[in-house]
Amino acid sequence: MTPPQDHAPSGEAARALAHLVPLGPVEDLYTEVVAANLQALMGLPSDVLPHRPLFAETFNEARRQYDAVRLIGRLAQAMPGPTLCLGLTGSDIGTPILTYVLGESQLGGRVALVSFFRLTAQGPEQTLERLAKVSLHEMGHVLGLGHCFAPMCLMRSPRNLEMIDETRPEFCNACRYEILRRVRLLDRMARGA
Amino acid sequence: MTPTGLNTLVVDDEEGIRESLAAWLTKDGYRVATADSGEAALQCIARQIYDLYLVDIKMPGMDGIELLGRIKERQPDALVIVITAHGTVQTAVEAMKKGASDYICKPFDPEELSLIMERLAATKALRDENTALRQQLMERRDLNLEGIVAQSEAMRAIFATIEDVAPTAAPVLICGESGVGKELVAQAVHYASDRAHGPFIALNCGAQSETLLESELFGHEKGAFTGAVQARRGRLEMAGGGTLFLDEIGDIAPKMQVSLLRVLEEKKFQRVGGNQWIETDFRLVSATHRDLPQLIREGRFREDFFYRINVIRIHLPPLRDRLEDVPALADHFIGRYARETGKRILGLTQRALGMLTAYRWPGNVRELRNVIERAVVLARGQMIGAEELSFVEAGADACRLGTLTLQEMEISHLRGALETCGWNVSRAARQLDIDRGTLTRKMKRYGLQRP
Ligand SMILES: Nc1ncnc2c1ncn2[C@@H]1O[C@H](COP(=O)(O)OP(=O)(O)OP(=O)(O)O)[C@@H](O)[C@H]1O
Ligand SMILES: [Zn+2]
Ligand SMILES: [Zn+2]
Repeated sequence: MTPPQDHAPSGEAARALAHLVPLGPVEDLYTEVVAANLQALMGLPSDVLPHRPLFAETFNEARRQYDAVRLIGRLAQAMPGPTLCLGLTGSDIGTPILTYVLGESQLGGRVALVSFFRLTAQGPEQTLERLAKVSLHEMGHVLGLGHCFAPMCLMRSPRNLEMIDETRPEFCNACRYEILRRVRLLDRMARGA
Repeated sequence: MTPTGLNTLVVDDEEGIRESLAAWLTKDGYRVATADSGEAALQCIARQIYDLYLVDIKMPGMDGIELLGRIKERQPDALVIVITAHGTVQTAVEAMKKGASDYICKPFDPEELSLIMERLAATKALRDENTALRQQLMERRDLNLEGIVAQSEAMRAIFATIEDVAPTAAPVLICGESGVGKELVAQAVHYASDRAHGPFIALNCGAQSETLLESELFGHEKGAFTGAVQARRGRLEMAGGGTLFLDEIGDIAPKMQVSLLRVLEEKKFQRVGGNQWIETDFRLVSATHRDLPQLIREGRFREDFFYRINVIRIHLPPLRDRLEDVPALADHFIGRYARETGKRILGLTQRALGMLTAYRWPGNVRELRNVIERAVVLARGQMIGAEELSFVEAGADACRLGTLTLQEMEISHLRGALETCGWNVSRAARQLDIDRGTLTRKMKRYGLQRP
């Protein structure tokens, strides 16, 4: 994949199109790896913002986890647009219909959320790879992509961890084309063109 | 095995469940509508047929089991999945006996939900032939009342008028620019009247020579003129018991106006070259994009004929004067063309929608329809973006394009303020320093909604 061209005047970094927000304790390495992947595979220049505490009011006592839908809503409020926003957390998240989710996102919207609570693998490398894949997938949704039915594509509906592990960190051609097209549009808008 | 385009209705009284399920299904490629009660679901079903229903068992008012029965009555082969809470599996079993395809306990394990939906898609694949028939049915519905979009105040008022006047036999005159939907309104009048079971016969008077128009309307006997090798019934005859729709009535010659006036008064006529009186009983609905009073002043349209056809007048405003209809119309056409092309398209990006609501639409709804049709054909992803839109007048007028951008900027400014305020309209209005009513109006106009 070709990395995005940098149109910014020399000396000035490309303007971030996505903000990464660590929610609660998240190791810097995690956010850095995710940011690098968004940049490399989606062409999304991403800045890592300072930590924020999790929004306590979105905790569901009965389920002992955070409500992903409400958490995204609060995050969207706290981080006004137009920059896209990805929250990362080590806490467990679920939705009103699902006992847990690895990630959640506004389809064609602005905000996504990924939890590595259930991504932990034997080695840290595998955990990081899973985290990057789920983040790329959710940001794909934010850019408006639905699930893909190509056999090896990050936008496949991830049934379980095994499926995530066997998928290579790549989008199929159709999805990649769409992603780049939309990122280009975002970029143009950000520049006020 | 992709669930592409499977029309799904989610029925649950809990908003959180409903919205999460809808979001999940949408990402997986289903087309999803929602209803918050059994009663609301029945209203949806009256308007459209769905392939798949996800129904919560426990709801106030009509519960899921009863709804299941009502769905199966209308659509015995409908796929219905019932949703239960833990501990009520007993009811779920009862639902299966009554024809539910499957059941799930909420909250579900993500893998389980995926599995059930996959199984369902397989069942659905076996029924493809059935689906094709059903889609045809939907297309046909599109042609009459069900497919009319009326979001703006102006269009709703028109529909209220139609309901009032349809049952009478009075002639209706529909005025408005080309492409605003005059024929569609004429059909609406027909289908809302007690003549709905009779024929709806349309004729465009603008596109014909005088002789041809006469024979189209009145019919002719064998040998009435060169080329008339067979006797033929005219539209006046065909419309018996139904509605005759004469489009571009401003284009017909004064002589023909006299003949038509006589038919309207005497309710009988003779075929061209015939000498028998034929009785007929139709309701006349006519349409024009011309200024008839002006034509009367110029002596090109007869005043007596005008009064005869202008008993009830419906004026359809141009699309640029009711931009609130644009998002709904766009959705409507996206749905139609996505179905026709078998593409999975969810909607428009915000920017694309902004462009549509900022454009002046000289060709009115027809132009919008064409723009969307083209965009659907071109679309490579699930959302139609600004790049896929092309307008008749694009680039023709640099000045106007400048103002477009201004309007687009306004839209994005409003959206930004709303987002910052968590879509609290009062707060956003305060931030923008405009009053709440103004903001609400603007949101409606530009189709800005809480995501
Ligand atoms: N409110 C609406 N909802 C859905 N479709 C609409 C609506 N209005 C118009 N259309 C569609 O737009 C197209 C043009 O409408 P129609 O042919 O009725 O316009 P018209 O005013 O009769 O045009 P003309 O005067 O050129 O004959 C049709 O495909 C029609 O189905
Ligand atoms: Zn997904
Ligand atoms: Zn793909």
